This record gives sequence, structure tokens and C-alpha cells, in this order.
Amino acid sequence: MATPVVKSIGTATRDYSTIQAFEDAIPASIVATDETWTGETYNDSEFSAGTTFSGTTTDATHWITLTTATGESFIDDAGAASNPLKYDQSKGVGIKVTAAYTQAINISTQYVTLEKIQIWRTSAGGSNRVIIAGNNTTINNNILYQENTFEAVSLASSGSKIINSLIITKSTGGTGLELLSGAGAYNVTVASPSDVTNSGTGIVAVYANNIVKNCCSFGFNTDYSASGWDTTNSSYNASDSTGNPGGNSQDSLTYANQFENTTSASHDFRLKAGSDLEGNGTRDATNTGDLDIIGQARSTTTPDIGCWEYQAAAGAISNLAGSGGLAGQGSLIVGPGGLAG
Amino acid sequence: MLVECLIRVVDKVGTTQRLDAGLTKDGDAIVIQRSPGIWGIEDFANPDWRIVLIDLTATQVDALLAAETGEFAYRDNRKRKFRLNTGAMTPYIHDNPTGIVDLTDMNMNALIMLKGEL
Repeated sequence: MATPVVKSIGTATRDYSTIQAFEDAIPASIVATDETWTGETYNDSEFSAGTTFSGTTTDATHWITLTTATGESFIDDAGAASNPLKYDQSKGVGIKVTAAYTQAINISTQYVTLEKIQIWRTSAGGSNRVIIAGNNTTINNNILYQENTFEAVSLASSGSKIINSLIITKSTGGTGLELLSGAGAYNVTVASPSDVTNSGTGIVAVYANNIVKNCCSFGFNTDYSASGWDTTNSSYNASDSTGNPGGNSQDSLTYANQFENTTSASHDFRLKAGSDLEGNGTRDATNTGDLDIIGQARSTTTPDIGCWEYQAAAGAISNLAGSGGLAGQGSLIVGPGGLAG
Repeated sequence: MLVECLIRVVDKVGTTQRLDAGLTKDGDAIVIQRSPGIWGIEDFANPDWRIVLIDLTATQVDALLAAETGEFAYRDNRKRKFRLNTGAMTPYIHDNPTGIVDLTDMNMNALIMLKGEL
């Protein structure tokens, strides 16, 4: 069994002060060293530099995870269920990248997981994305905010997937999520603020066999591309237009009726009472672990579409704790908070 | 401006030509912070790294952190397009492996080098 190596990242006497230094410290082959590497970020201050993961030899059992330390994520905030669902570094680890010609996170190393982090890519010049990733990348439980005109998130191909995440694209021509070939999106909310005229596409499948399931796209000129989908496995998607991939879709919904607030200045992408997304998804325990973006329990019979599960009463929150503890690279661990009533 | 630069002084070597290109090499800037920077415990302790205090223009900072761009069929892009000539720094950086090495007297224009073709 691979030896776990866990390192702290932050600006208050941690192992590394930057994520890039953590990445550079990883051996050239963690298959040869028989290790897994986990970087635990701390919210000592807002991270500001872009990071590139490249060159490292990995495999399915020798992986790299970038996550947050216990209590350091927006998921762990005491008010997580009532906080607006948006980028807010005061609530948990945040990476805000402002430099031109810089991807916030650029991943070509395989078997990298990114979880529980908020990332904001501002509108400086150049082909800047929030995340651009190659094969076998997993993106779990993140808030991703793009102000640039390039795709917020681009996932290359088979084995790469994004789960339980929120993508906000605030630009006049930006794509939310790009899936190249055989990539997957599960319970992802992709939104462009309602007061921005966005000529882009919410979710684009570039080539073939991409899966989109329990996802929603709102506020774009086109919500889903017309082709490139695995229409057998894509289903239960929603938007404010028609043409959602796969069966059992929710078409032509009213954007303003779905979320707490959809404007640029005050957006909050928690579902609101009476949203058409409530109860219209399908169970996907494999990918979501029956939890939503902040660890609230999902219905096991009629879960909601998108990253958020509406809670009729005070919700039960199972914190997403432990390195590599999300679906895809290990077991789901109920955190110290347990199941609160 | 005065900056503190975390540089690699020992090559990382990949398992394939494609992967090797994506690893940092001797002279590559890993992180640059305005001085005084905030560093972690292992930023100082890693024997393959040094932290140097140098005087750079904003353009030089951007150059040292810039990635190679392009589509190469046989390899990944290199993380850094330029490197620092650590050979010229050798007497200093090897004398003081764990602290911040003051190289403010050195001419950075002469030390920043465009990498050659692979």
C-alpha cells in the first residue's frame, strides 16, 4: 500500500507557503516512491498565484490531492447552509488569480484530485481558465468563478470528471464548462449572472462520448452544445432553454425561480423553495456519495439537479473530511461534526 | 524591485521524455515573492531548492514565471521558458543552503537565460 505523504500549505508557518512549491516538492515518480501526496491548504490568507501540475508519474493508486485542512473549507464554515453560495474567501480557502496569461490551475499530471476549494480567475488578458485539466482529473465540491472570456473549466478526456461543483461565468462571451472527449459532469451547476448578456455556451462537448448528468446550465446564449454527448448515459439535465442532453430533462425553466439570487452583485446559487430543480434528478451515489456541495444529504430517491440539495428544514450536514475522502479516490468519511440534526 | 525567488538547483528527471519536459530543472524559478516574503518550513529545508534575494523588474519576474507555450507531439510544455544561470551563483548559493541568499549585487540581465530547444 502506498505511503501517504501529507503536507500543509499556507502562510502561517506551514510546510509550504504556496501551492506551486507543494507541487514542485512531489517526487518525479510517486509510483517509484510508492506514495500518495496530499496538500492541505489553510485559509491563512488568500492564495494568489497560478499553479501547474505537470511531469509527475502517477497511477490510480499513487495519486495527488489538493484539498483543505480540517475546518478550512467553505464547506466547514458554521453557516455553510445559510451562506450565499458564491466565492467568499472569508468562509474558506480561496485562490484568486489576477495575473494575465495565467491559468489558475493547470493540470497535465494524471490522477490529480482538487476538492473543497474556491477559485476565482479575474478578467486579465490572455487565455486564462479557472481549471484546465488532462486525463483522470477529479474536481469535487469546488466553487469556481470565472470573469475571463475563456472556458471556466476545461476537462480533456476519459477519466476526468467534475462533481458537486458550482461554476459561475461572468463575462459577455464565456463558456462555463468544456468537456473534450469522454469526460463527465455530475451534479454541476453552471451559471452566468442574469444581468450579464453572455453569448457563450454553458456546457460544451467538443468531441464525443461526454456525459452530463444531473447538471443545470442557466444564463447563457446556448446552455448545452448540440452534439458530443453520450446520450445513453447523459440524463436529468436542466436549463432555461431546450435541447438538454439525454432524457428526463427539465427544459425552459425560469432562471429567477431556481436560485436565491442570480445577479452579478449578489449572486447566491443555493436552490430556493419551489425550484424546478428540486426532486427532479436521479440518484448517483457513485459520484456524489448522496451528498451535495457542502455535504448536505441528498434524497436517495428524488435528489435535486445541480450542486445544491434543497433542505426543507434544517439540514443534516455530513462534513466532507479526510484527505482523498471524496468519491473517486477513497471512502467518504463523516467528519467531526457528525450528523447534526 | 526586491524579490525573494525560490529556485530549483537540482533537475527533476521524469520517467518519459514527455513527462520530463513538465518538470522543473536547475535554475527554474518555482515561486517569486516581493521581499520580505513568507516562506514555509520546507521551502527552506528542501535540499534541491534555494531562496535568493534579487533585484528584478516586473518584466523579469513575468519572464521567469512564464510557461513555455506550444503544442509538442512528443512532450509536455516546460513549466518555465526562462531560467536563472545558477552556475554563476554557485559560490553563493552553495555556501548558504538554508537561508535567504543575498544576490542583490548581481546583474540579473546577465543571469536570465532563454532555454534551448529540447
